[in-house]
Amino acid sequence: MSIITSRALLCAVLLLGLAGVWQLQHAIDAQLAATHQEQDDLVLRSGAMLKAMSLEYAPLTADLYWTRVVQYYGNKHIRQDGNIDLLWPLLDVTTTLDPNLIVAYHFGGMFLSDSPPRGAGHPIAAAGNSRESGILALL
Amino acid sequence: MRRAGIVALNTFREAVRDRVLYNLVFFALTMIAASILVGQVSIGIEEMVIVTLGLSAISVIGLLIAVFIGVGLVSREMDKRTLYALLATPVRRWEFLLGKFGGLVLTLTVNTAAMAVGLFLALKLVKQSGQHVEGPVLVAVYFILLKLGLVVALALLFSCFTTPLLSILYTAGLYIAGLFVTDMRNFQSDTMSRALQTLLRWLSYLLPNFQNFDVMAAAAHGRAIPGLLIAQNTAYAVLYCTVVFAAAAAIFTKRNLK
Repeated sequence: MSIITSRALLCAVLLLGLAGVWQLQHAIDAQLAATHQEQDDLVLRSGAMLKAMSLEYAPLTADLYWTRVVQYYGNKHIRQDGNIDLLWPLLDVTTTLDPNLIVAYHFGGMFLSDSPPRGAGHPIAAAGNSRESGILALL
Repeated sequence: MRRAGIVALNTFREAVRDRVLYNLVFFALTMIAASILVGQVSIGIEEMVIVTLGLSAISVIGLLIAVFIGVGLVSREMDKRTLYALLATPVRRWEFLLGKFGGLVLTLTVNTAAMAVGLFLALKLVKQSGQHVEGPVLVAVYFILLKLGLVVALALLFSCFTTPLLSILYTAGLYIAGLFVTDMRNFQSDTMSRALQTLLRWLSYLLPNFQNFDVMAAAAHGRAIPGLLIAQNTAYAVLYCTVVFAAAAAIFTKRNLK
């Protein structure tokens, strides 16, 4: 096999292969969307325990949880899904991991206070602890 | 193909001699301890805990073997100078790579199958409900094996042109990125330029999507996994491995081994 032929064959395998991967991924996405019973879950709800498990990386874990808050709220918002029950536990974990994460208080408070379906419609009267008060104080 | 088969068989033998399969003892002990402990500390979710713990252990142990042995497949042969003697025979370079890939996949298959047997035994020990989780668990184990095959292919690709340490970093990096491709695709922000959004979207389809193989939650809850998804994931893994292997073979064929 000449060099040109082998190179052409390699390019063809790579291009056709990647095109096939692209097509298959679309098909798999459709299949997963049709079969997955989507369930939101937050397994670890104890911020204190997560803080202990994060060792010295609690601020990094807080950042990851904050990203998860944004993605959770954003996904619900895009899908017009009013059930955002996990918003408060997620924010609680985030602010426990890093109490100085002001952005979580600021935007978390907005997400929490907005009336459904835009927000959780969280009652201010239910403010039970300092972090919740911190979030709500910024409203 | 026969020559690649011989290389594969020898790679498998080498892995066995390196006591790679000793981790099975560790896995068996973990599963026995977990099944005893879980029965005493959890109420109603014993099976679920065993399934998630078992599948996680299979996945983590498999990934460690795939990455750490995968990146050394080529470099070890070069360090020991056995590669030069081998390539002096009629074995082509791509056949050598294919044999190495096949050998490690065979090792992982034996390893995963043995661990799956351990998982099913532990499951039998704690089984209380009438729910049939065996089928979905078997599919989940198969998906883990597909994922491991893909990881081996990536490790092999990187080991063809860089050092083992960098190969580990690249493979681990791609694996972690592959766990977040859906997030990458759905990530929308007003502050992000349109070009960056398009780039992320393209990347999310071209990077290996390891989320496809994650059916652990479905298996733990005994939810059936459709046959079409099994076929699609198999095709995806085979196709992706072919692309990665073609790239690896092209690089290794051109590599100056002096």
